[in-house]
Amino acid sequence: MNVAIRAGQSETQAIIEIDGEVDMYTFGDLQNIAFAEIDRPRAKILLDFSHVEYLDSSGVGCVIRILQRAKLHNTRIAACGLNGTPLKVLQLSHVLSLLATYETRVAATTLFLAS
Amino acid sequence: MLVVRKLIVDDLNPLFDAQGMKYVEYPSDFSRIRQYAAEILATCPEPFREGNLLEQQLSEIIKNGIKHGNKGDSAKKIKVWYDLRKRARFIVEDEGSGFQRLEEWNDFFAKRQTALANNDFETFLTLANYRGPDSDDNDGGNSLIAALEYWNGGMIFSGKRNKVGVVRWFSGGSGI
Repeated sequence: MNVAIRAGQSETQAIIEIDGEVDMYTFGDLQNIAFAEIDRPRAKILLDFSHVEYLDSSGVGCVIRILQRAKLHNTRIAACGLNGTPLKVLQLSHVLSLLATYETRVAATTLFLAS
Repeated sequence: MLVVRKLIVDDLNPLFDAQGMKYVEYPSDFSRIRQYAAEILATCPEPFREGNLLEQQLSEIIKNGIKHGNKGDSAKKIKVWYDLRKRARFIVEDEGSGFQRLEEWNDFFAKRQTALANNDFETFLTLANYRGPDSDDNDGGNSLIAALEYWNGGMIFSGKRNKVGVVRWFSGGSGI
């Protein structure tokens, strides 16, 4: 298991690319990076799940905490590339409606980051 | 009308009938939860796996038993009965004192779902995490929320509340 996160650099926006499995053992990595980006602060942050193949309830909780912290800083959060189990688990947890979601990174870049 | 699912306690529920089920038990090793689930599902019919969704859901139940039930005490066992014929069915029992705040969790979930149904996302976010007296900062009750949806044939707690029976049916069956 591994989760690799790369924070894109710009004045007001960040793209966090998540790679691997976000589970009870790894979610802290995502949370720490996302919190740091929110605290800068950033106006918009895109969570790219295109390369995430596994997400459990710890990952869901992590997404919720990111949304809660983002709200405090008026940071807008969106997600792209959700598919398979991560998408299903977020649906089952009734969390998907809290997130602006885009099928692809291109769509998110055009419709979320560039808007 | 908003319908909110609930966790149910029923010692006599047929989901606790372990006759014909396979049995394994494991020490409460938090670092091996996903390994335990993978071992149990080693011979699982492919259609039941739904990618790795079944493994994920089984891992959550085992995690709850190890973390909240046995509190990570390696001397305490997690016991799993399973049957993967025609559907995915499990009974998972820990050696803890049971989920005594089950009704409180049901109340939390009802409020959370009401906020969601009303598109009241501000309230929903404030209710997004369930915190019991033994919860840590990483607990949110999300595993139970997803489980109530996923286990479409039922999710029942025993009277002592340290044992849960679940079943998921699949529209195509396994062919077994």
